[in-house]
Amino acid sequence: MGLAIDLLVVLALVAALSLASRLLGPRPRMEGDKGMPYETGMPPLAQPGAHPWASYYRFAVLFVIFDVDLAFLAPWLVQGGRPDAGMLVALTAFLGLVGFTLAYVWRKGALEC
Amino acid sequence: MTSLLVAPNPLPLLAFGVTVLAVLATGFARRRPGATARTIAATGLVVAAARSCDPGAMGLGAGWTPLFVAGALPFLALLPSAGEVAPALIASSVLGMAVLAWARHLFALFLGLELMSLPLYLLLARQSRERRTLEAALKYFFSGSLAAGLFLMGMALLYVSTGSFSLDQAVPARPAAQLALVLMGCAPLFKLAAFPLHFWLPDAYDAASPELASFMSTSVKAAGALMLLKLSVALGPDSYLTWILPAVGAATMTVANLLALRQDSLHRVLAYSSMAHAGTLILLAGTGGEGALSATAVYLWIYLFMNAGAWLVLRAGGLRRVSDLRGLSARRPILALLWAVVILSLAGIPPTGGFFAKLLVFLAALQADKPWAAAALALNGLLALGYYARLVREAFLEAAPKEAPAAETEPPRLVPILVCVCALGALWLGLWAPAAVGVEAWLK
Amino acid sequence: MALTLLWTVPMAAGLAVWLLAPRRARRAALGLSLAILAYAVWLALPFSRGEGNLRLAELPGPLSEGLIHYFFAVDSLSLSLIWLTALLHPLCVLAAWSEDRPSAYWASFFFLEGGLFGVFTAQNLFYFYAFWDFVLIPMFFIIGLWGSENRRAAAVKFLLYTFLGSMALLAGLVALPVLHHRMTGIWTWDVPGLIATPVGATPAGRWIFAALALGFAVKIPLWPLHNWLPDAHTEAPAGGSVMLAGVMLKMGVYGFLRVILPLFPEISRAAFPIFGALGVINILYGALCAMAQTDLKRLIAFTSISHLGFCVAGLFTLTPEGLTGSALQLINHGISTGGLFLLVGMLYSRAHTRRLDAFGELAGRAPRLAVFFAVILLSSIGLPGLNGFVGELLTLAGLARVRLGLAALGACGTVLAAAYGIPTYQRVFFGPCAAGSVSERVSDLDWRESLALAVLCAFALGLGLFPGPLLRFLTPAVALW
Repeated sequence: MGLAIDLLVVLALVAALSLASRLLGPRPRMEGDKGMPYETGMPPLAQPGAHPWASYYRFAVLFVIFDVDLAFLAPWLVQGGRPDAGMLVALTAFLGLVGFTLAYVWRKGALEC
Repeated sequence: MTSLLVAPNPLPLLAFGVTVLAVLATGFARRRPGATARTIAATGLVVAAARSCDPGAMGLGAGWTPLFVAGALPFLALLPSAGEVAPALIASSVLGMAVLAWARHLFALFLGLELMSLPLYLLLARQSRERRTLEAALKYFFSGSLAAGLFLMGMALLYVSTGSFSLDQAVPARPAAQLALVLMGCAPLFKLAAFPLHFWLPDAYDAASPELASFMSTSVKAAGALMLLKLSVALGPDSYLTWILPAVGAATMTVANLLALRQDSLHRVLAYSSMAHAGTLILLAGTGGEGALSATAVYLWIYLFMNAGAWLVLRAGGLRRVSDLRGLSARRPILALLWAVVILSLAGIPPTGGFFAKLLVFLAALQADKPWAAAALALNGLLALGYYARLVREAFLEAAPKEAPAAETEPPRLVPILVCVCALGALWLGLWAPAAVGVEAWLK
Repeated sequence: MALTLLWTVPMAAGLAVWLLAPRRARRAALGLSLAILAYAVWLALPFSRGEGNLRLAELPGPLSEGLIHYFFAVDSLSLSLIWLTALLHPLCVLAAWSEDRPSAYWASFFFLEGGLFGVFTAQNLFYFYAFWDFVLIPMFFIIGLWGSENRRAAAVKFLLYTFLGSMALLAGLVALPVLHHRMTGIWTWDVPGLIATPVGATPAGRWIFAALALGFAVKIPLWPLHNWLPDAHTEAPAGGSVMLAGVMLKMGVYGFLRVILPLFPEISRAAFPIFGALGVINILYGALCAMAQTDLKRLIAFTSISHLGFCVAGLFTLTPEGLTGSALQLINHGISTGGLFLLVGMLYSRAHTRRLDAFGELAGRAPRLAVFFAVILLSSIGLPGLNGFVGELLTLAGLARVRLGLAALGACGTVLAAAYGIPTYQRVFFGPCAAGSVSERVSDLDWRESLALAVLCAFALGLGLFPGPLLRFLTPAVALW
């Protein structure tokens, strides 16, 4: 019951706010620089919606592996104090796995364009 | 940390992981790896499964891994000996199932689910470069991701209402928590192709080779059933899953059997047949209790033999359409006979194992005081015989076509042996299991 | 051990015959089926030394211990049906000597025989049902592979239709121990353990009764579930029809006698109006349909429906006359209808047609055939002095004790039997026959066929003149009144 009321209140609020902004807010004018897609402040090189080349995805995925890797390592670095043996083993195993992966994709030529 | 995520004594689980790494490591060799990767994968998985099985009881954990590995073996055995990618993929899929089996924590459960599913999408997409195959793989991938998303959403909801991710605690009867389990239940129901989450199934099975389809319909369904059982045990015996699941199961069976009646592709007939059996498993999971657990395990072992047997006959005979079966009894009498055994077993006709499996579900449904479920089972037994009888009729009663079907590439010599093992296994389980298994002990 | 051998030996014999070369398969089939007959007859010896109703029991452990429980035993009714099965099998081999692909054909008969023995001896309902369903498989192949033109459709129809009954039966058979356990705390699937179970008094008990009755009624078949029978009988090969009509239809009545009446006596008594009426409808409907047939085999198929109506009506009277009469009628019908299907099979193998109006003047061309046909047809019609008469009379007597009107209607069935039987005989054996008709191809019987029919005629006469011993033998098995 409580959940249902929550849901109703949320929906009603969202609807009311967007309706109010539609009715009361100024009409935005979409022209000039304001109409351009925002991409780190640089003028875009391609039309929005164009696909990057296929190996871009491969690099993106591989990048995520190392990104996540860092996310796991960070707490270990900043936690201070002396790490115990179990943690050391776990992290070595983890880094070993990531290293193995890197070596494997390298060997398979996945890092070439 | 580990003991929180997975059940105690996870060493065999590591063995599964090491197997995957070892298979990948063969990729470093300069020469073409030959059959090494395949052999390592098969050996590693079998050893890991043997290490993890507990002869006392299958329980809800490691005892299931031999089932998963057994379902993967035909695929491994029939792989062409090139490359380490396919063996590595299937080994990691089985690793995912093993993680599922060990999981006591929702994170581990999710990890296992994804580790099991992602290699499947890739394996399916690698089947051929045809548009059809890619379409099927993409469909499978997207709908699988949807199911995973629902699972995550359920996880979040559960955390909100209980403050914990552990599976061992009782789930409160609050609506949010119950809704969370229903959302999480969508993931295994999707893997089992329950109605209405079955739309990906015919395409995927049609695009897959028989041995991959066999893996998808035995091991993957077993993992789905295990996950469903874990969730329904977590929910307790009085939750409303105990009537949602039987209803979903009955609907799944009925829809699958009706759709199977009018198919021309053997892959699709068997796909719907596996969906119907999955419906039976869902119904069984909904009857609740320890009995459902043991009965599901026995059902899955029997189903493994009969289903894998049927797919392997397709491989052995190079059969794709139902009409390809014509004259099979004249062309290859022994293969036709084995075909009859596995099909009659799938139809649940004594003395095959399929009959005992069906009987168990009837018993469980009636013991759980659900006569309507028993009525649905009876009706579906009849519907299913409608198309199984057609499969037998085409193979035995119809005359051979004037010109023999185009000569297929000769299947590996191992295929007939595997078919024999499966058919005899299905028959043997039907003769031996009823007398050996004390059914009434489960029905407490 | 004796009963385990009884069902395993035919299965093993089937495997052996299957692997033999066609030329040897026939002789082997004949020899093995005769050996099985001899074994079945020999069972009378240990049976006569036993005590109680169920004898030769194979029962590891105490009664009612667990659900699935290897429990086999026979009573006099089971034993009689076993004898009937074992007798008809070698006669089929003799009479259909020239069937093609004999290895697989006769192997199917052995599997069928083994399955039937299992049905008649199993005292645990798990094994009962397993054998019950198993017999569908060999019969499916017998009809589908060796039948006439429409065999494929007929085989599938037979399988699906009778499986409808099987599914109802399975649901009922599974619900029974579950409820029994809930009420008594005992898990059992043994028939003796379930006798007069308290389940019958509950509302759910009625549903179980209905499910079981549906399952058995399809097999008999009881009107309006009889649709599968004419097609299956017509399209099946001669031997297949003999086993189908001679033994497999009996499974339904046997199920009523073995499972429904002892387990649900109260509901059975209350259900008499329904089943008595259905039985009489069967009698009349079967006879009327038989009169309208132009296909000889279809005609006989409908007479089966008519004759089994007597059995069902007799059973539910729950009177001594009705019950013993039905049991006797089971055996008699096996002999007379089995014989009729053998005869039609012989005609068909010579003339390649079953149309009534294609035949004529056969009495002169095939005198031996004419004599055997006359004796067996008259026994089927129920002429006093031949076996059919005794069973019908007893069931009608039982019916008359309970409801005179139904008995009178049932008696009309015997008149109708004469009305379809005599003209048919006249048409085939004395009717006019154009030149070049198929009758000219009909030669007289050879010694194998004559031997098979002579045996059946001897039983028809013997049981007609001296029904006493068999009646006394059957009585204890059906003493449910």
